[in-house]
Amino acid sequence: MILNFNVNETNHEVNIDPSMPLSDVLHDLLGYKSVKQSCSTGICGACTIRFNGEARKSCLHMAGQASGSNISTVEGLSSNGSLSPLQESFINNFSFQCGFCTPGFLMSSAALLDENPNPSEDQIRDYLHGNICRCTGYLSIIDGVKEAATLLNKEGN
Amino acid sequence: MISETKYYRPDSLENAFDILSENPDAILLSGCQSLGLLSKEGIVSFDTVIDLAHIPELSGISYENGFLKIGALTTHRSIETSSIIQEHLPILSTAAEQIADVQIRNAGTIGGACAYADPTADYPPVLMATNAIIHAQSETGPSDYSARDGFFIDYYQSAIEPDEIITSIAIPIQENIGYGFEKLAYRKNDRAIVNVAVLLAISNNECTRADIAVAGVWDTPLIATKAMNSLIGTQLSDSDLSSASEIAQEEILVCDDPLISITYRSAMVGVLTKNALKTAREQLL
Repeated sequence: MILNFNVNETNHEVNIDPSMPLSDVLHDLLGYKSVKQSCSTGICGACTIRFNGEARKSCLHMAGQASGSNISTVEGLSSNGSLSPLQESFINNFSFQCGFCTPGFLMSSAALLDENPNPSEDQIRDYLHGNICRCTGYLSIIDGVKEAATLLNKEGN
Repeated sequence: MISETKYYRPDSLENAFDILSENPDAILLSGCQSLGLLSKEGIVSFDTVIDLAHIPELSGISYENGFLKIGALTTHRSIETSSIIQEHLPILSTAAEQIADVQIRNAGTIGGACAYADPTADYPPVLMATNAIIHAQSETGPSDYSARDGFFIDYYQSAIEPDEIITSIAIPIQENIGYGFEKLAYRKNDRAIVNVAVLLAISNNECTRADIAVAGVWDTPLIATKAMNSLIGTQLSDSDLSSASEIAQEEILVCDDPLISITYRSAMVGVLTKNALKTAREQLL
């Protein structure tokens, strides 16, 4: 079946089985390597992308559901070779070690900051509940999100 | 080579029924959050999918003539954040925000959750306590199911027939109600070990309505009829609430579980019921 996706503002047309997981389509077929597959059962959040702006787990979507939608991945966060304030904040705060879970955390955090530019620590914790990190510990990730919020608010002013 | 899955995206209910009658074994796809998991685990397999996401008749939240009506495709996140639901039935928003995580709440739907009939889910006790009606439709016409009476029929089994599609959930709204929702889980927002939904109303200082539903402990969610009856006509004193929760603890059936003893789970039915009753009472006084 022919499906169309807009990923990071680039259109893609693919001819695939529509029940294929969206994560496989993005990572294996279209080359968006930031979309990590880890648990494949909707627990870990490593495959989190934005689907029409919302944070979603791409392993729990069939490709057919996403046809005609706008998808964003970490590849779309930076522009002209420079990292986004969120990515810079993750680096400044050591918000990752091995980095495998990081794309998922970045996409969840990006959705959070768009929805709520001044999240409290509780709101950050609640929003990132669906993303699991097994090495950094969560405190530095939360610090990264807080700093990104501060930077983005300064930029906005 | 395994043949490709047939995938349909009907844009009306009529269209969906045409496809369903030609493909009676097709699987109905709503948010894909439980179905995705089941198919990956090899528990469910299918060769035809009907994606319901583009049927306008299945969406929308409204409050009319004393009923809150929620389209089957409404996501948990919308239920959590809807101002209409927060105003008229805050207990449903409370239950929704305790489902899984933001990503899953952005995709999973109330219609899907009803059809799935997970005995540890968070909506079923609320829908039972509030006397919700589940509206479904088949090619031959509509049918209504009472959440309290006959919808949740067995372990992961609802009364929905294979040729039916859940269209909406309607909940009768009474003014001046106190609500309580309590959940015990392994970790925050995990499946419930026990969850309890409670509604209370008073008139002239006497309890006129008491509804208690408990889930997570048996194959289906259960109503605590004796405990409810024990509260009617009382002044909802501390001892009235304590004795009602003891009655609930006694009457609610509890399954054995490899990890949690019946004794503990049963004791938690009592504790959660009492806490939910207290929360509901606070809103009345």
